[in-house]
Amino acid sequence: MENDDIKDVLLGPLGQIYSYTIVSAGKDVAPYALAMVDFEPGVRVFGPLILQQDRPAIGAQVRVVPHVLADGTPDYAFQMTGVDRGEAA
Amino acid sequence: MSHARIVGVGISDFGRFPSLSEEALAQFAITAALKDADIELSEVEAFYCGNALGSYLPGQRTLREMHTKGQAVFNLENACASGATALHVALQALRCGQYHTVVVFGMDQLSAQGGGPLQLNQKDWNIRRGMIMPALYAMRAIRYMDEHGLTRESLADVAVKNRRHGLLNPMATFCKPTTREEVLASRMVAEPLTLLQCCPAVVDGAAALVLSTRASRSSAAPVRIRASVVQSGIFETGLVDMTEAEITSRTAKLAYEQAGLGPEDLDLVELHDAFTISELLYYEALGLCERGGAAALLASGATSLGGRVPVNPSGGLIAKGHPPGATGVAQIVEICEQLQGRAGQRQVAGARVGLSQVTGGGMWGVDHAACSIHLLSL
Repeated sequence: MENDDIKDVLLGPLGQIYSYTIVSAGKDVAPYALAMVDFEPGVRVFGPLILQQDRPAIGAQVRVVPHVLADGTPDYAFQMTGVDRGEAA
Repeated sequence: MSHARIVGVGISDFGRFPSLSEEALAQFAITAALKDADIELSEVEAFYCGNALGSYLPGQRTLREMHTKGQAVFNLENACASGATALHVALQALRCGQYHTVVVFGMDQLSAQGGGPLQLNQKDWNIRRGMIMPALYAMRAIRYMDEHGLTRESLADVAVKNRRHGLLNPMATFCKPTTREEVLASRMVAEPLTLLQCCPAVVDGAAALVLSTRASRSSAAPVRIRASVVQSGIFETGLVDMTEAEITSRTAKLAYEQAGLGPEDLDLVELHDAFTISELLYYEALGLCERGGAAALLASGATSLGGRVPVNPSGGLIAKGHPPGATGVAQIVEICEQLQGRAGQRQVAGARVGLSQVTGGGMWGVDHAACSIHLLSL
């Protein structure tokens, strides 16, 4: 198998949004956000993005926070820190 | 190697038919294709059925009431690429001489499944985290807009164009005319994709082809299959570029090589416009324009009926709807009718070469689970 390039890596708590969307699943369901987030050293991770006052934006910094899936499974989510790519650079 | 040709095509109306069954829809398409080919059911040596959402044995369930005499039936599932995959597998048997005449058909009945986006595998981690197909394509769109300055208006124009085409297609019964403003004002599904930018989720339909290595008896010209390629997703790690349709560009390269043709040779394309952004990404993956050039190509009118290379003259998935098993076969039906000069009001003048493209399946870690491309000419 050609999976020599696949190994476990430790990611820092901070990443940057590569892309995102806000899903409106229906009238009776609150909108929720999803994002692809880039972490050092070159890892792009999918996960739920916690919706706050700030609109999601490409380049916005996020922190990984504990999160529980709808079925009760402990998991992670992304939370924006309020820093955008201009300030981060 | 025997030369297999498409000698008959048939298609049901695409629409909501909750009182029918998927078997009945497929029986209609098969009967129409056999009539078009002037071939009796008893002359068919094998059947290849593409079906994604029905239960076990869709092919046999369809054929039982047609009183077939025990010929081989192959059921093929590759999600939304099931029908195109069935055609690919059927060609193998014809080319090696195992059979001389076969039928390929595909169908699904979504009005029997309830509404909403296609159900995905709930064991998949990213699906448990909230991923649905519209959200995946929405994220691709947001990134593409950022990198290439694509506007919401350009996205909407894909839906306007394909519905304009679909209105000329009598079998696209679900299609209604729409304006850019109506598309943008429709309910948001996943930013920036509004409801009218997604192919209708609840549409039923079936399509069928008769293929033979024997002389055609049809009044329509037989159609050659210049390339038939199926590829699978490659597990990608690292910083995967979401603005690139990796599996489609890989499959297209193989198809062009197989046919000795290139994107400049195409007179029409039927592609997998499950969402507006999909069509734009596939312009680039199929080589109709350079990376980042899709919105300009659309705006130029080149991909509209009357343009240089009309894309989705049938109306595509956005106008017709998307019963997954039927979609890949329906694309082939459209290209055959165009090449044979019997596409009615949506006829592409002088069409000589057509390309069909479908992708199948949301699966974590790969662009798509499956992709199939066919190149057809007379």
